[in-house]
Amino acid sequence: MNIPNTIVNRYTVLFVFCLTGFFFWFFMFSFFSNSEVRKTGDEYDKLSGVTVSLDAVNSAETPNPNLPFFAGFESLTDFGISNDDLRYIQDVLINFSLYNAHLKSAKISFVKDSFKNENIKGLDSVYSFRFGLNDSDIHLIRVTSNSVDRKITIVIFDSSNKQVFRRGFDIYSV
Amino acid sequence: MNNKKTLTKRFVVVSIFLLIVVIPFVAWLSATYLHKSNLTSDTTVSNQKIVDVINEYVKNSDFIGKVSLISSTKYEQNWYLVRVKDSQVAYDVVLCDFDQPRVIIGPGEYLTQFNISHMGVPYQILDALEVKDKENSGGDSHEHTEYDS
Repeated sequence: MNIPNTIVNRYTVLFVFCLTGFFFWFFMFSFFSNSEVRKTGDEYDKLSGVTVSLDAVNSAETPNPNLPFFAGFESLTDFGISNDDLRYIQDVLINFSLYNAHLKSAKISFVKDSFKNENIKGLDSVYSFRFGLNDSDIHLIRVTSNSVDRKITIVIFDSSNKQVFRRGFDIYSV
Repeated sequence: MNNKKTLTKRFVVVSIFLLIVVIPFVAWLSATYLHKSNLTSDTTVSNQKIVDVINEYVKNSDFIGKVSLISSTKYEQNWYLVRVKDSQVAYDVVLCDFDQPRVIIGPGEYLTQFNISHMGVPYQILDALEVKDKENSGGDSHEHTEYDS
């Protein structure tokens, strides 16, 4: 069977156009999906009620690009929480967001007005507050801190009040 | 003649549909798939590369000579706990590999929660170190853990 030349030619041209078009669109889509669009400027965090400088967050030098950032946690010191406690709490929350919640570069927000001094048992002071992951997924964290024995235990509960994380440390001051 | 015209018309319509709808869609699917597989790729650093990185790290150290690998354990998100030894002593080293392998805690550096905090070192690595501490020092540990996440 003889196929006319004009048909062969136009199908060849169509094939070349399709191939060129495919590569064009492929590189365009690859470029836009790979270019990481990071937010910049200031962002109001509705859970903590503070404004976070995303420029400062983006410029922080760290070997781990997946680290979360914190919003509103500095207000914990207003409730009498020591810097050591705060350091261990934030470290636990980093581990929790990365390896339990499996979130990369998450925002961890202190939930405004959620701080509660629960009680003092002997030398232990127990307090709790809520935090949110990426503006939602609210969890309760309960801290038992003993500044004499230099021990701290941090427990996290999910929204249905089920314990999802627990860890204790001997406190080493910086 | 009329039949030829219809064929040509159909060819033009099909070509335009291919070029404007099908080809971009297939290209988008391919690019998305490639991007996702890149994001979830879980590469493992070779043992040789690990030893090279640690030796580069200790190159100017007066305390530690060239090291050789005893064991390497990979943890979540490309974290490594590596056991190396120089001519006399064995050391634990913590490495991460995000853009390139990097030593976080070098051989002989003191390993506690405090000096690796806020870097996202998985607690499983600390737990593994603690077990080794106990084995090495008869139960004297840098930290106690109650981990049941």
